[in-house]
Amino acid sequence: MSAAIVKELEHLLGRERCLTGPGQVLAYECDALTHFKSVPLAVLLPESTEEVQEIVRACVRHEVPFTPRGAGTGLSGGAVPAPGGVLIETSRMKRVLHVDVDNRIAIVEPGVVNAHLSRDVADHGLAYAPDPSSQIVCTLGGNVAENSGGPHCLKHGATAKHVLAMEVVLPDGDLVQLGSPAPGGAGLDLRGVVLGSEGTLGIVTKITCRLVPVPPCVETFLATFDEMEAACHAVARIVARGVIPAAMEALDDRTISAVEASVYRAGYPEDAAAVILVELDGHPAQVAAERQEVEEVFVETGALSVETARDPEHTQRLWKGRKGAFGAMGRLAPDLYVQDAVVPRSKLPEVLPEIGRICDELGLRLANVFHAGEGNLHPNISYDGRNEDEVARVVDAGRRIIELCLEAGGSLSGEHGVGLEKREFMGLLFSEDDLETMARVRTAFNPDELLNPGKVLPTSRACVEVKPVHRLPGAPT
Amino acid sequence: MTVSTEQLADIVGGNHVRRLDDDNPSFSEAHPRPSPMVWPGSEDEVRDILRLAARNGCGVVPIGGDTAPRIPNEPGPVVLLSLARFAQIDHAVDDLVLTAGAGTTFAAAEAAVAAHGHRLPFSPPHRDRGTLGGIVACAAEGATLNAYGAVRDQVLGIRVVHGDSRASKAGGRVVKNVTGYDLCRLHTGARGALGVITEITLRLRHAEPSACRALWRFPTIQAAWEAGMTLRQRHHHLFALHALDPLALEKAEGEGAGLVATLRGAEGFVEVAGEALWAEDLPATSRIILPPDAIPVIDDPAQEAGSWLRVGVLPTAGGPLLDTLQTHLPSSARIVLDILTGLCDVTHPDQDWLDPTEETALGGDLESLAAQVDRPGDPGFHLRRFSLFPSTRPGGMPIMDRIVHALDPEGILNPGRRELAG
Repeated sequence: MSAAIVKELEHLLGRERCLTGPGQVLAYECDALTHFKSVPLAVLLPESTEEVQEIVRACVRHEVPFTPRGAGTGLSGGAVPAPGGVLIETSRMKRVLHVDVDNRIAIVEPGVVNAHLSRDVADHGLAYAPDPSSQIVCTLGGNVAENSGGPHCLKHGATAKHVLAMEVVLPDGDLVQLGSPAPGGAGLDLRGVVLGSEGTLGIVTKITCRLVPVPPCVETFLATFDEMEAACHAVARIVARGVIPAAMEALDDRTISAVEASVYRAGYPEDAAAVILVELDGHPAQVAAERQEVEEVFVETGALSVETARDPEHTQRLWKGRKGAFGAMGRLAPDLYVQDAVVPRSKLPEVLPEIGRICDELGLRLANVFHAGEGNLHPNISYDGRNEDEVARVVDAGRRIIELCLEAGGSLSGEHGVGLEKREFMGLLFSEDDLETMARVRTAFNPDELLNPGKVLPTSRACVEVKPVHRLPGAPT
Repeated sequence: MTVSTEQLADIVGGNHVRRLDDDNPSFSEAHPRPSPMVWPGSEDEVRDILRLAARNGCGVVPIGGDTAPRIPNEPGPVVLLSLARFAQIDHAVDDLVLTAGAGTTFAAAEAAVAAHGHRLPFSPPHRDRGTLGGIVACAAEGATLNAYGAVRDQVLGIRVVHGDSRASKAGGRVVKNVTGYDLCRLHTGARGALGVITEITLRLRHAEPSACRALWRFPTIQAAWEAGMTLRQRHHHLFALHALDPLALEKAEGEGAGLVATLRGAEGFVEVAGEALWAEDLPATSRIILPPDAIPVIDDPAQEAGSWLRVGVLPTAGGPLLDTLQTHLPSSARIVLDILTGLCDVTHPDQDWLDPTEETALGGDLESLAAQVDRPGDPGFHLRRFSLFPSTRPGGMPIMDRIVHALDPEGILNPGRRELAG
């Protein structure tokens, strides 16, 4: 069976776009969450919608599971191939097909890199708003699959708000157009369900994106605090005063230290317990009014200092530390576990210390960098994967942090998705009936479960065996 | 087979059941009469009603404010299920989030959150009687579409009782969430075909401290649209921008069609942005600054409307759309076009105002705009409206059918209100 489908796919794509050599496919065994690995039978690199359809039809004929993948920057194991399955990498479908400046939309292929779209439309004074931290690498197809966020989604919204329509190859190889660039629309919002479905309902082959005018005024502030609780109160008060900044990010002292010791050095004060990075954008008069509110909050909440970006280079430097924070933590230990959970914004001051207590109790090194304005936490635990005892403690911490966030009224994931990592936690948040409803919707798209099996829903609903390298949170035990 | 009021009374008590007869004008004429009407008070009661209806092969029509333009459901017995008793409000002030029963009226919810300086994130038609459940079920967009986004962008969480009587939730009460499939978006605009919405969690907005409207008068709505497209290119921070025909402006000062720009934001912003707008040399016959609630037809296009057609187009297709509409529509039709989003509302005081022959001709002409015109999105949308846009049937209809069948296997929910594949 394996040989037969490989032969067929090689015939379709040629050997240079149907990778089967052990050295070639090994690089695709995981996404950016390296704990879950499964070597694909083949890695396929289609260059057109028609080729995606032919690949899918071949997989269906041979009953071989298939998993779509963008740039592999996902952080929940969503693009890990199913055992015995093939990987469909859409990164070669990277054309910006059409830019309609007057209507502020762009039609792109899924392999277009997120940051490249904004770069390509910048001359028109337009931009694509969602900006995940991996935006210089990640693709828009992957962004659609994960409903990716990013620091500036606080004001401008995540991917789902900026994708108006899609061309999708269904799990049987049929092609369907979902959504519309114009408002309204009849029927069920299948576009909305496919968005964020982690590649389990269809493979997106064209995306109609909403573009936004580049804001004429951007002001960026870095405020330092002597404790994280005060920083969280500042975040809450800024929102309470009626200001929704474009972005509002927080970093704790350990993250600051890691950043300042790395190539991402941004000049953050190393004696601060916490910093928050606040960015305002929009009409200059609106920004001026919001700046006044923000500055008053900084005074009220006892900010130790406030640094205001003087020019675009200064702004870029302040953001460099935030965007490079995860990379900087690579210095702390051989392995890094990036948790992604979300709580109501008002619960930040009570949840964060509790997360610290959990990690202290377990003797783990915790660093926090998170989207404070949305309550989207990223507790990062540095550890050594060769130390089994430490791995076990990381597992324990991950589960306890999730339970803590759910008790606070939160949710499992703010932006990384469920994938393989958190599928077993879904039962903590959703009832059997909730999960049954989701499973039925998935079955309506993907009745044979050949498309990206085993993701999102607990394994009891969609059995697949992908072995984690380490037994980490969410992994079946 | 129908369901009796006695059977329903066993579930909800006698005080919460009645028979809708011919002599009751409070509800839409489209509902079959006589029909039992029931007001459940809990999710369990909704489940029991759906079970009873399914056993008896009887349809169930969820009703919010009963404001959506109605066409008759498929022939056959139905139970009219009002969500009016689902009216609890839980305002998480510090989180800028509202969780409310589906039967909560827009007006009640808006008043509750306004006490804390917040606003609901949409501007639906029939805002006095419309309910949050109905607004979400119909994806009833309005004048906030450009500034805040679509209704489905505002729904953070939802609770639903499906046609098979299972209750389930999706989403949550946090403002950012990618846990599991986004069924909130699926239910938004599904017109009750997948389940009875019982509770909704919404993202809220801060009430802007300052706001105003500027009205320029033009001889024709086309001239107003052209001027509006110029403003659209130069002023990126407008809250809304509408072209209105003379009928839509008959209660406002001045004569002719009009262009209305809405500004909302900080006081300094409204002042500066307003001055910049005012400095524009538009070929208008007159102009005036108005309070933000002036020209209420912008915020509620269904006002005093016997019937209502909504069409969505790309912004640049607004002009051709206006030409086409005016070719076929009687002069008694009222047109309000949202220039920034391309959402166009056409209303008329009468129920049957569009001659079927003229409607077919209108559809034919709109087909030439097919690449730029979306399917009709009005809450009264139904199969007949396909005649307007035969080439733009929504994609994925077989999947829609499978989803509906998976969640409502007996097909009892809102029969006939959803377009079908085939």
